[in-house]
Amino acid sequence: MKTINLLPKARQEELRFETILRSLWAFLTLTLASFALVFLAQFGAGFYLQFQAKAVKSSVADLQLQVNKQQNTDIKSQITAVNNLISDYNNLANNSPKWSKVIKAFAPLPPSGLKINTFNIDPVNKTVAITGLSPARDLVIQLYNNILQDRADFSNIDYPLENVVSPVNVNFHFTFSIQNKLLQ
Amino acid sequence: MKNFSAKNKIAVTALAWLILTAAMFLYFFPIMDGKNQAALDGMAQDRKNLVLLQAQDKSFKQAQADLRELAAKTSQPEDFFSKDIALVNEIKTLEGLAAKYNLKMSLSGVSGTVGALPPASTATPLAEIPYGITLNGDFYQAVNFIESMENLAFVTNITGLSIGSADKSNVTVSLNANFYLRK
Repeated sequence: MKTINLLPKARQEELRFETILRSLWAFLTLTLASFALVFLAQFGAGFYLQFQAKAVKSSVADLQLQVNKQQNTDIKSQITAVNNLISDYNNLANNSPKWSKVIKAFAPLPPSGLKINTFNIDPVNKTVAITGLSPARDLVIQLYNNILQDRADFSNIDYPLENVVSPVNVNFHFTFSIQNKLLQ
Repeated sequence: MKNFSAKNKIAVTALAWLILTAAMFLYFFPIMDGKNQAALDGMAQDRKNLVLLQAQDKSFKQAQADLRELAAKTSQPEDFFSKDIALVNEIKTLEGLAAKYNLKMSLSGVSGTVGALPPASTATPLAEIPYGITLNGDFYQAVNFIESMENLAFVTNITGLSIGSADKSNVTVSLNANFYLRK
């Protein structure tokens, strides 16, 4: 069945606008409600955050008080003193070279018959200076070669020419460096 | 109200909606959001401080427990270095070593008071007492003495060493070393 609107055209248009207006009002109301909801949610979140922040601040203040107590300052200084003592002991003990190792490493090097008169260690330059007396020149050269070949323990041995001038009863001297790992 | 037709009302309502939406999105929501963000940032910083303080508190409690445990031990860190009145024990230890290795020992250079002696380059206030030792006896026993001296319970650093010999059973060892005493 066909419905015929007999109202004048202007009235028909007015009615159409009123329908749109009603829909718009409804939309506006919904918008307002949703804005209010979002605003309330933001307000609620802000309130909750303030409450939480207060609780955290209070915990921080309590702990700060606890940490700053005189007793803790005392503990800190006691721990520092103990740590200093231990590290000083370790440093002094570890920084002391093991000279006995140097002597032990050198002891087997002089050939039989040769006599070492002095054995001086220079701890600053980590060098050894030796003097001695040898019945023969060959033994002095042999000692030189023995020290030279012991590269694991010694290095940079010098070669004083006066050590080989005389064939017998040689007063000799050598200076050489100690390898760092021998002193550890 | 004849002039205020439905069409005009639509226009006014739409304008009102636009103004309201713009006000909410451009003013009210950002204000609230900014406030909440600031609160969140502040709380994050506070939480960070809280974690740091908790760690500090835990560390103090651990330190307290460690100190209690340390106090119950027989050897205390204070014993690592003697006081001046206990230096005699260290000298006796060296004399004992010399006797053990059948060496003749003479000690020299120990003099002055702890307060007047130069400080060692350490974090703890220690005095450095240089001294000299001369040993006479067998070469191998002298080496044993030096090795034992390097491994004593107290720290004494050898700073210089020389060996002179008549023969292997009669060497003279001259040592320079340091004692360390608590000031």
